Amino acid sequence: MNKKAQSDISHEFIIWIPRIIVLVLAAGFVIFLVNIPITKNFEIDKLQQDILRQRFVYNENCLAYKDENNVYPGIIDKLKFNQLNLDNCFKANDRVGVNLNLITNDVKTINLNKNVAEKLNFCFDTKHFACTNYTYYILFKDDKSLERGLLNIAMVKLK
Amino acid sequence: MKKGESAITFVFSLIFIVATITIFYALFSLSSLSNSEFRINQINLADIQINLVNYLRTPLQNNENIADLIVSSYYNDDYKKLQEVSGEIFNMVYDKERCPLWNIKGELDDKKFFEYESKFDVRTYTLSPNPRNFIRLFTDKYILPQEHSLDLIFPDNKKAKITLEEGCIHE
Repeated sequence: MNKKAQSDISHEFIIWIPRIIVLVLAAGFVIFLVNIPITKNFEIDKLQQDILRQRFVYNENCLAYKDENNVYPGIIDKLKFNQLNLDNCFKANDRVGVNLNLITNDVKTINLNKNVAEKLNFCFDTKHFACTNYTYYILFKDDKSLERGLLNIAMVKLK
Repeated sequence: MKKGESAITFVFSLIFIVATITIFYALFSLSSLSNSEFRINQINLADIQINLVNYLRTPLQNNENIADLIVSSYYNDDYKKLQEVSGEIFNMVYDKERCPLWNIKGELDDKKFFEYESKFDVRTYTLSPNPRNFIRLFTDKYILPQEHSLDLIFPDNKKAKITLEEGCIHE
């Protein structure tokens, strides 16, 4: 290889250095832009809890009242509000704890996955816990009549 | 073209491409943000639906329920009891700490014939989770209003739309 050819190759190489730097910067900038809003706008933990929570009031195996033919979402069968039935109905995973309060003439409380449910007091720590809390206006069967009540469901998930 | 000019052209081309991508990206993110919120909110509507259905079928005296009361209030043009019962129920369900906004209204042929709501101070909260909302600089709390409607058929086959709106605090 003659000297002129060597000089041309090294000259080309030097010209390409700023091009590569600008290319890397541009690619990094685009990746940065794409990533920020996507990570900010998906709260999968809370979405999961919303779906799990609705199971309690919509599912006949949980709390929804059922007569001979129909299931009535939102109408609660008080007899189903017990630890055994709710443990069977809620088999999500060990990382989700639930605190249910049935408020009628008195207040009944049930915790599911007690070890996790006890962490509800630490919901301020959003780095380690994802929490939701919702109160349903429910009706419940008492003998033959419908009575008013509230069902508060607080959930906590370990991140 | 000289080599120096070629390098400058290349750099300016890249800057142009990045600017173009940024503009398209901004348009894309604005539209996709609202789409994703829309889909996620649909799940929460199942919660409001329970509250609205139970409100309408809440039993009152004489084997009547609130749906019947709405009908009789409309024909008698007397909404006093409806207002009283609605306030009693929704103030009990939506406490001011977590869900300070509730609104229940009835519409017939796009005209409201009753509407009751909580005492809600809009200045305390932002009404959008959009991180670009500049009010979020002053508070992390925002309220996500969601509503659900059901049709109520009157005896003379008029169709009223009953809508419940709730706004709970998100952080």
